Amino acid sequence: MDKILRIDVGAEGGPKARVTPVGEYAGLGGRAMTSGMVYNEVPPSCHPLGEDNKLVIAPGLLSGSAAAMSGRISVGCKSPLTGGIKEANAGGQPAQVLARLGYAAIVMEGKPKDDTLYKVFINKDGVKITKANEYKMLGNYDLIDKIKEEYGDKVACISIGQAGEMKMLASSIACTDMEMRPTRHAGRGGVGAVMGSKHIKVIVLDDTGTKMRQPKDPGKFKAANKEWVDGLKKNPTTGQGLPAFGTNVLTNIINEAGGYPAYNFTTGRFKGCEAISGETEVEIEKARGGLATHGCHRGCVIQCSGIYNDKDGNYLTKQPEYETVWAHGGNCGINDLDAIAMLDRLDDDYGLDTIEMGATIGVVMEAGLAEFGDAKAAVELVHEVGKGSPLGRILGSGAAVAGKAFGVERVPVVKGQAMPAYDPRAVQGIGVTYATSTMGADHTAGYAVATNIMKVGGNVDPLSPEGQIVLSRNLQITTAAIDSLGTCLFVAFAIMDQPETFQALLDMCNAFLGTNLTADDVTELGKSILKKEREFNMKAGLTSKQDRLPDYFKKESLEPHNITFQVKDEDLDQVFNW
Amino acid sequence: MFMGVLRKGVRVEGHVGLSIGGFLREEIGMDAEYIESRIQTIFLNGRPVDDVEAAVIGDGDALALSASMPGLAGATLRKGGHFAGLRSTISYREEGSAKRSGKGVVTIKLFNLIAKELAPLFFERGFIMDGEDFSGVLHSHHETLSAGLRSVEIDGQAEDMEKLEITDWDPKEVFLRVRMNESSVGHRRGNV
Repeated sequence: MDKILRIDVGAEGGPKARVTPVGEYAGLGGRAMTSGMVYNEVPPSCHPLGEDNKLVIAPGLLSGSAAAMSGRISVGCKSPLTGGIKEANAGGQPAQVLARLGYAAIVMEGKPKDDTLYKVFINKDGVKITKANEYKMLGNYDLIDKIKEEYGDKVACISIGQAGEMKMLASSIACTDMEMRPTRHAGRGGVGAVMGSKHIKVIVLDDTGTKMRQPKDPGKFKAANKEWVDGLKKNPTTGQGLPAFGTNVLTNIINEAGGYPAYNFTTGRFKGCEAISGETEVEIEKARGGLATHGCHRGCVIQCSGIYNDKDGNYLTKQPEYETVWAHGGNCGINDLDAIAMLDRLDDDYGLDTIEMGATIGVVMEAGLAEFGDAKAAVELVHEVGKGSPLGRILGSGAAVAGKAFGVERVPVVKGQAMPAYDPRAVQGIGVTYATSTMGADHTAGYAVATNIMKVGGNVDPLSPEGQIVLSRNLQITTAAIDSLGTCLFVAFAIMDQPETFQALLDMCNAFLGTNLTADDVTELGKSILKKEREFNMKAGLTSKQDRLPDYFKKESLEPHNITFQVKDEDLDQVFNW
Repeated sequence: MFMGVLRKGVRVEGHVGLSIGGFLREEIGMDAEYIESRIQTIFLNGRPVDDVEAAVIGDGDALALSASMPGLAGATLRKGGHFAGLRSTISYREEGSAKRSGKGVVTIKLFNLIAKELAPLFFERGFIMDGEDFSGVLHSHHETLSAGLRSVEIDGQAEDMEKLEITDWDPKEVFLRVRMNESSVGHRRGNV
């Protein structure tokens, strides 16, 4: 990965591709690459959909190699949803393929001269950009079918649906999975709108004739990778729980804890949760001939995904994840997994963030646009978004905009981005991360639960307010580092429990890259990423004043524990005070 | 077929006023090592428990058992985990328990891998469930039950599968016990 592909979409005569050496960005991958480039090259005050914003797509440092779990791809830009820096990442095939083609990043920059839509084809021989107006307003599924007709089913695609073309704030960027379905999305922050603003509908990646990236020290790499895989397989969470039930195994647990935000965050428990739990989901998938254990990209050993078939046994969508099942399910009072799976399919097709859409529908249900629990109405609302009707435009702008349009006070967003599936009043430490993350409310921003192994920040009393702040800070630091390697965040559980597995990850990185990284170096990498992101946001106008949860979380108590969010503002302001 | 019932929660009678660890070992018959290593997430009346030997279980309490869970939230809810502080406001705290020692009924919910692994133990020991739920299982799994049941007892009397299905269980509580080669069903609270 020694080169960067820059596409100037505003060039005379149409977009022009230019390949440059990786240069000053050498040694960066994933989030470190995207945030580094956005920090260096994008004016923080620019309009997110204007010519000065850039869309950066970067595989992880280990992507394209034999390293297990290295298939995450990062997408970065100034977010049209939050107004700050954004890194959204996804699984699927593109990271592995892009890395094998030798690209450390693809950068889309400039402003199109007209409304022509383009596709980009990249293979070992170079880059070809051609007009693609025939793809206008196609959903991701139809688009990929057409790509298959032209390029076969061995390529990987990065694309936008109608929502991205319409530059909606809730729009995502789709990545194809192992079956070449557009099911893996860089969902958060409206990154699809930025790709839409560059008039690039799809990037087709063909790694035919390329080889797997080779490590600097093959012997040590092979041994470390084996240790790494063994560690993931022996861990109860990564080796048993996730493969058996997927992420939706959390539904029953979060509900039992009273931290499951139901009916637009008005209560911490959902009576219909058993019908939409991971255990029930798996029973349905198996009964209908789907799959309950499946990977989203080659080289995945956790296999937390699956295939969800309809009642007739035909493919409907990939296994809806916990966040999706919550957003379109309990958050909207819906206890029908088939309806939730359909909503997941529609989100993937139109190119929408499932968390943002579920939260938005919850908000407008509270406004009376539909009854809580009305699955049919929810499906119709998502179709409105896909059609781009005036109502759909409002809904496709996300929960914050919809809340303003319909006069709703209870809007669960931070920095304009909808909260995921954990109520911050029950799990207050997650609320600290929601409030202070550079990304807006984001459950993955403080996810890499390995701070105990990495000994980030020394020892604190985790029961004290200071402890919550320090833990959240440390989680955000380690997550930023993990996001840069391109490894799936779920590896965090194995490296939290098993120091030898964390060491195997470090050994694997060092053997592959020819480095001598230590845990301290990884921590410093995470810190440097967060510093840049934080500085970008400050210059873009997002100060500590935006590091807050909505007021109602401090005033409305949440059942069943009848508790409000209690972390003080001055404590939140200490998260980045290291 | 009973997994949904186990997740919803079944009721067991036993000696209460013990620690959770003591109750699970002595009243349910679980292995201490299994409780320590496999059951990583425990809720007592919806509150995450960190110390199973300190938390006391009483009559009418609800206990939920799970394996280790993914996500930061999953790590946070683990018993005694490094991230327990992140949910300290809802954690279970034993404050000089007023729970009396004696016979009592405890609702136990079994989730995910734990449900699969502990189901045989609970079937063998027997548990109380709502008649409505029992009817639901009978009707939705008729073929499986017909194929698998060797014999049926209702209140100590040998009966056939048909009797099991035509009985109106809905308003009742059902005590269900399943053995390897025979099953036993008894009505509760003097209903029959």
